[in-house]
Amino acid sequence: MSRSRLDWANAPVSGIVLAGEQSRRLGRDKAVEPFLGQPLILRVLQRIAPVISEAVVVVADAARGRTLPVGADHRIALDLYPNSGSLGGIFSGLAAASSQWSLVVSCDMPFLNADLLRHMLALRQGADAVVPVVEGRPEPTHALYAKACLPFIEQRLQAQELKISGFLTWCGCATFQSRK
Amino acid sequence: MTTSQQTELLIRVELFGLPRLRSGQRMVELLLPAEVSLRDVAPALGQACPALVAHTIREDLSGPAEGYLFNLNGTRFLTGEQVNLRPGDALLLLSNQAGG
Repeated sequence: MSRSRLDWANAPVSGIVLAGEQSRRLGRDKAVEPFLGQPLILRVLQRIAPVISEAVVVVADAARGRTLPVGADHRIALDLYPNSGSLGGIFSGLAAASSQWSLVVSCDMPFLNADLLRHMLALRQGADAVVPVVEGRPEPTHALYAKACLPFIEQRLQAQELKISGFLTWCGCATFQSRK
Repeated sequence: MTTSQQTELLIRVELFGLPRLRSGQRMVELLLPAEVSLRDVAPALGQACPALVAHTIREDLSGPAEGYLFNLNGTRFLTGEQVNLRPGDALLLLSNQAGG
């Protein structure tokens, strides 16, 4: 995959929050679950705010986009590949993002750590994705992706191969061991 | 000038996942003595939510059971160190295996 000659160190980063649809396991909307007195998704947006230039919230449909309490200064992106899990959400967010690089997180991560996120930003050189590995398992929804990944993600979506870690082997992925 | 000495502290404990289901409560308010530390929370929480004892809280009420931990105000995970709580503090009782 060709490496962009982008000055990656200072390049702005878009934030993508995956808020697809109601959580099947929880049985209700995880994104608006109260956490320390506010909807969980608002807390997640606050936690990533220090390291991003814009926030894109990916939702399954327009109705959900209207109901989520995320305020006007965050963009809503519709899932371009519905029912395709996180991989479809990542693709849709990346496609909608203005920056070359995007930080992708889930809407149920109340303890996102800005120092760790900054550390990840510093690992982008020569990579197309930066993914932490915890106890041998990649965390693809707490990761950085470049737009260069889009065609490769789309190939897997069209083939209905939705396991994210499967895609990571196709791109120049910088992984790093992260203690939980 | 005398200042009124605060004799009690209101601590909010938010419950998630199984503790929430077992206790049937999202949040519990505990009225504790002013000079309270984290070690005092488990007994008070066990009294307020008996269903959590021997599941989320150790049977001897000495602290969270294995696999659970407290987080202070959404910023700091508490793992055994001595913490003195202050008015308005919120504790989150979480499973350390929770995840998206």
